[in-house]
Amino acid sequence: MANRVLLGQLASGVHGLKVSKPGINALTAATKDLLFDSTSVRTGMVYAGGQDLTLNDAADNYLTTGSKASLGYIPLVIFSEKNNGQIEVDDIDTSLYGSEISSWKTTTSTVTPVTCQTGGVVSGNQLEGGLPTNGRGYDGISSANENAINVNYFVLRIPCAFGYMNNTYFG
Amino acid sequence: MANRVLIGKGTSQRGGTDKFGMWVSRPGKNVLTCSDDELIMDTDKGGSSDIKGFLQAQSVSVTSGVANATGTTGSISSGATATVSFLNFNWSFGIIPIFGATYTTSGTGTNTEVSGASWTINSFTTSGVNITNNSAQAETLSFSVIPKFSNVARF
Repeated sequence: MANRVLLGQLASGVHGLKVSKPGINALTAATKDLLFDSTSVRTGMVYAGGQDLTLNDAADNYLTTGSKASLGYIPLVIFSEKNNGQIEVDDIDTSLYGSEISSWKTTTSTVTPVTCQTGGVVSGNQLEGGLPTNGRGYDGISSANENAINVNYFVLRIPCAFGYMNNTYFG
Repeated sequence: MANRVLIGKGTSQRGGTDKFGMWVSRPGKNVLTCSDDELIMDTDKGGSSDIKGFLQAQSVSVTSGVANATGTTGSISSGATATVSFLNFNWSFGIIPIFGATYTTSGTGTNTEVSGASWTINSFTTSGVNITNNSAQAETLSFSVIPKFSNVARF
């Protein structure tokens, strides 16, 4: 049976805790084979979330309107919903493409389903497109096939936004 | 060197000495006194602003007697609706499925074409997920599951 838990000295001058996957020796395991590794600076601790929500185009307050304190940063949020994957939009004579219909805007208190503004290729082979807009409203796509339906989400204690990916939050 | 691991009786910062649990701080942070946000493992105080669990995706098995040790995939024809059945997840609050697919590209520059998958998750239980492949081609989707943390809409 493999050693699964290493608590104490991990290496010379380094103390902490490691827990390996089943069948993997925690003493020698590669990082990818660890369930928990105290040398990491952030882990997937779930701070808040929503389950079985039909939001359609509306935002959802994951702080549940004041009952939960703000984290002070925009967090990483993992979503699962009914509509997923690529979307193709016909705009008169041009066929536009979006890589993921399940797109969201996250703030320090809310999550909002968004419409990505599909763009084109301009000079220099650069992609261009507008900012996402709140709600889902792709031309030619029915509400049932684009709205945020049967939404489940997890708000993690991991900063995930410009201005928060620094030593203040990861140091 | 900072205290990194606290097991047993808590401190005032960890909810009080009447609390017991296990806490691990970020490298360089003192687990006895650091803020909650500086923890990478927190068994919490049971308060509304404490964590509710860990995001640990579970690999699933679709074959009886096969351990949940590897990621699972299923192939679905274009336009088809199917139920992907799986085993060993009779959790009281149920599961939430997480699906993923790959994208392929062809051509170069302004002639690059992207081909990807689109699908709907119609319903799911602790033993299966009903999905529809809306892509123009058959797709192989990978999935794992995450346990629900409670039976309320927001937690």
